[in-house]
Amino acid sequence: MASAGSGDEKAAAAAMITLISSDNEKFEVTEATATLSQTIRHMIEDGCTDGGVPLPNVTSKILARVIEYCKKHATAAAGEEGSSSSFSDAAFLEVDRAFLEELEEFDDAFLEVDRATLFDLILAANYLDIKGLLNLTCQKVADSVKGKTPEQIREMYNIVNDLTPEEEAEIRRETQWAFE
Amino acid sequence: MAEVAPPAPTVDSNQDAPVLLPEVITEILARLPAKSVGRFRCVSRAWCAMLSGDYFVDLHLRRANRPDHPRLLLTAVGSDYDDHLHSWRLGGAVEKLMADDFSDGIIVPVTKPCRGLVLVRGTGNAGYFVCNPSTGDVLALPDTEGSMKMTSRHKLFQPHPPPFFSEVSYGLGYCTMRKEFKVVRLFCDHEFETGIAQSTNCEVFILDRAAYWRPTAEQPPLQRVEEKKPAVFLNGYLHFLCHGGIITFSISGETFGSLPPPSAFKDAASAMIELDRCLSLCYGKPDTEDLYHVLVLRDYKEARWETLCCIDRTTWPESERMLLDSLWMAPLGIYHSDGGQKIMFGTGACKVFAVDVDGNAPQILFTPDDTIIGSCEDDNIPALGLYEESLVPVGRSLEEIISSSPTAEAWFDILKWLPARSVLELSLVCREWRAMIMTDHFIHMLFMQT
Repeated sequence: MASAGSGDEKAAAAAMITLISSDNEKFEVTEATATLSQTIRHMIEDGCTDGGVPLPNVTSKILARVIEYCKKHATAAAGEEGSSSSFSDAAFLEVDRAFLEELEEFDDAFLEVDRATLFDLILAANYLDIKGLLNLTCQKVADSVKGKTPEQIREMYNIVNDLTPEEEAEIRRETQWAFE
Repeated sequence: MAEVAPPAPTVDSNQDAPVLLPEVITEILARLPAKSVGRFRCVSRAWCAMLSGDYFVDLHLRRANRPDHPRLLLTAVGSDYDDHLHSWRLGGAVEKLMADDFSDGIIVPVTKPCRGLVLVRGTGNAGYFVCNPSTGDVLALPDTEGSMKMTSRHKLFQPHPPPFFSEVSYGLGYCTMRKEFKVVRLFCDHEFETGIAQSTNCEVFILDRAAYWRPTAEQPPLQRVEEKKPAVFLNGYLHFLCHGGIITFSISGETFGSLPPPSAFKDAASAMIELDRCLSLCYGKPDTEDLYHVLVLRDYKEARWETLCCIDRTTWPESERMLLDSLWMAPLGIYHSDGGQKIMFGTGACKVFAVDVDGNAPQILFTPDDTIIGSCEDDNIPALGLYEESLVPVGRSLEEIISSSPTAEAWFDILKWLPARSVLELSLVCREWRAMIMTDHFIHMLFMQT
């Protein structure tokens, strides 16, 4: 499978995949972008992406955001591979550093969404198996609930407290360290 | 009736939260600090079950700790001492952890976290403990406060004095197959003039299984160990740094082996740690201008040691040299910053610095002076170690283990009616009886009966 000629590489990089959202919108992306999703990577490996990949769980609004993320991070991954051979080169290090900072800024800006969108992104990242995106979005939610009390969590996420007062008291006693 | 409108679609903040799959909720909660997880166990029945399960505890270990963000456990006693252990991470503030009153001595980290559990000791022979600094769970290991094997009770004209050992080294490992934590200690005695080891002995204590130490079936090789050189757990093996070599101990098979040290290895002032998932050896006197070498075992099978860095402290700026001068120093971990590899070091005065692999120009990362810890006096023992968020329990206490067996509990009630002399004799019946008779609770009961 190794392609020696640069022409082959270009052809591989230019290979386009069509993703189809639940509301039937079509998105053309490069294979490098699409394969950030393990789910799609496996589909490509199995050769079942002809005629587009239907994603019945992802709306066009969310899919557009997911692709935006993948595009940015696919170039990052390519950049890392390119520069690893000349790791000691100071100029490359400068470029790397600037790029990593840019990527971090991108991620921060990417997370500036309402809660519903954030949760949709988590579901999409989970379904498409995109590790980086799942990590990013889950951490964002985790950070937002970190300091909350059980009462606040129940209210935030509409969770019914089905523990009897005795049971709750017992759990609190057992995990007393968490309430100090 | 007319006034009661049908429930209009609510526009409160909760309504926009879609229903998440349980596995996604698990992924989110696994990224929380242990304390938050503990609190959220009383949100509901389902959350309590999920957050207490083995699967979640394992996932939390992987998700809540990121290898590229080392966190430190600070055990130093500073000028603003508040009876607690602390944690710190690069770019973060010092956070208060569990109380440190479980030992009479000053707490010293002995090992790096093993699934979050850390082996610590109290200075002045104040015993060894396994603790989880995230949850405050702690277990005092039996017979570690002036261990029996290290107490000399020689009598005149005794033809066969009981074996006596002058030195000991401890380690903590985890057997993935049997899901057991094992504390292992290697005793040795050496000839005073030559320093050559004369006898060794190895004992194992399994957390949550038995209330006593038992010897290993295999005899350890004759090597001299030291208390200040604890074992390093890596790839299923404990590694004891001895005078003139490394003893390996398989945690699952309980067999011994050896690893050759690097050829240029000098015995003096050496320390073994784990760096970059490799065994690493450092040598060079801390409070001198000697070169400080850090080597890593890149190829375990071929025993190929590689110099990671060699630090020449005479090239450091005077101010840094003064600030970092300490009776103890050791690498804590490797992290990536500014596109390069940095080695993080700690000192006996609870200061943290980093050097590039060329060892030049140390960068001061942390000093305790302006934090809630306050300034620390220098010492020749570790004032810090590594820290991991973890929900892993240390297991039942010794008394809980003993009373979980109905027969042992029955014997407990019977033995407490006997005179102390008979009880002492009966403590030789078996290890379990001995452990039972030695518990504080039993001694207290016996005292009350008489």
